[in-house]
This record gives sequence, structure tokens and C-alpha cells, in this order.
Amino acid sequence: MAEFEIQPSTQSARGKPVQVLRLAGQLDAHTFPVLQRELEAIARKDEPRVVLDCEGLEYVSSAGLGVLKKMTRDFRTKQGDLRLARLPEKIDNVMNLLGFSQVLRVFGGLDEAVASYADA
Amino acid sequence: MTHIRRSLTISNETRHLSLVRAVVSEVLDASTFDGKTRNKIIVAVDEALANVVEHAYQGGTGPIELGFDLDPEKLVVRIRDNGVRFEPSAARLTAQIDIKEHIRLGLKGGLGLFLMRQIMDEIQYVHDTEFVNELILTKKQPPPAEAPAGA
Repeated sequence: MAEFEIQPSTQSARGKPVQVLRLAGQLDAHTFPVLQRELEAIARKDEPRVVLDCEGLEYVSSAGLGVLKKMTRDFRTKQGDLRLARLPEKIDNVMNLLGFSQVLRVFGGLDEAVASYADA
Repeated sequence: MTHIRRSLTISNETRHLSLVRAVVSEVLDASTFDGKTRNKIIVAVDEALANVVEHAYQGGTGPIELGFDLDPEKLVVRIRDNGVRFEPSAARLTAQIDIKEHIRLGLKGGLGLFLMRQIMDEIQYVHDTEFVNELILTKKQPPPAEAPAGA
């Protein structure tokens, strides 16, 4: 059975909170509700600023990517955003097939991704 | 190269998807696909199967049979079920994805079939044989790299 875990933490960029979710395991049609619930809870806040730390992510399917695109829209509607950090190459390859790099900001480092919210 | 055949039957539950990905990975270990292509094929099969798991039995339960056939020229994956007949429209089989538009509209689905098409060489829906639905995914293999002289 696919295992998927989220470790949430809060960091800050220029005094504003940034929710960092460290993802580990396989994000597929079985496990995506775990991420969806977590992101929906964050979406209830004002200006939801989120970084998904993907270093431990082993697999992602369209079910997981569907959550990302839906929640990105919800966050942006509330002047927040969803950004990605440390994307493994094989996952980046799949996301590129769909053109995600045109619409989501992806950073090589976690600190860089968190700090990007200081520019807003 | 050896001709490899594997088959398995699962119930229509998403918890089995990771097991099937592991089986696909094992089959691909014997192929000439590079690592990047292998990962994409695993995604394509997972997308195809996830669709069948979600839609074939319309909330009920039922078996899904999978067959993997790797010969020197190609990989053929068959996903068979006896659920509700499914045939995507021609429009869905050729539609392009505008991810900016998807995000603007807050759409959640609509990526799986596109990924399958992007990754595999051929996608075929066959009906009313031994099964109500048979989805056949084919990917041609690159020729094996020539062994170095003297090896």
C-alpha cells in the first residue's frame, strides 16, 4: 500500500507566516485526500502562503497534481500562493509534460522558496 | 532479450495502485527503456488503472485484470474489467491541456488521459470481447545498445 506523509511546520518571510509541508512517499489516487485535507485547512486562512517541500516525494500521479492545481487557484484567490521546493527530477519530468512549470513557481532550495514570499 | 509476461487481478480499490506500479517497474527492469521513460510508463499505467478503478464499477466492487507483455519490440499493457462500458470521446482523445486555464477555473481532474497519450505510443479501447472493457496501452522499445567489441 502506498505510504504518504506530511510534516507541517511554519516559517516566516519578512514577518509573514509561510506554511511548509514536507511531503514524503507516494502521492497517488489513493493518498491524495491526505494532502487535499491539509491544503483545504490552510486555504481557510487569510493569504495562505504555502511551500511544498518535495524532496521526499517518490511518486506523483494526476490525482496529486489535480489537488495542486485546484488549491493553487484557491490560494491565489485569497492573495496567497502554493510554491514547490526541491522537486525530484522524475516528478519534475511528469509535471513538465503538463506544463506545470508555466504556472507554479518551483525552487531548488527550501529556504529560497520560503524567502520568495518576502518579495510579495 | 527475454519475452516477459505477467498478469494479476486486483479489486477496484485505489490501495492496490502502488502494488501495480511495483509490478510495472519489475517488468520494465527487463526492457531497453531508459530510466526517464520507465518512470513515465509507470505513470501512464497508473493513470489508466486509476481511471478504471474509479469509474468501471460505478461505486460497486469488481475485479480488474492486468496483463503485461514485453517482447523485444514493445511493451503492451492490458487493463480489463466487466464494469460499465467506457469509450472516451474523440475530443477527449485529442484534447490538449492548457494548465493555465485549468488553474484559472480551479479544475481538479482532466490530466490522466492526456498524460497517457503523451507517454504511450498507442491507446486502444476494445469492447465486448471476453470483457466489457479492455484498454490496451502500447509503447515501442528502443533497440538494445550494441555490446562493446570484445565484451
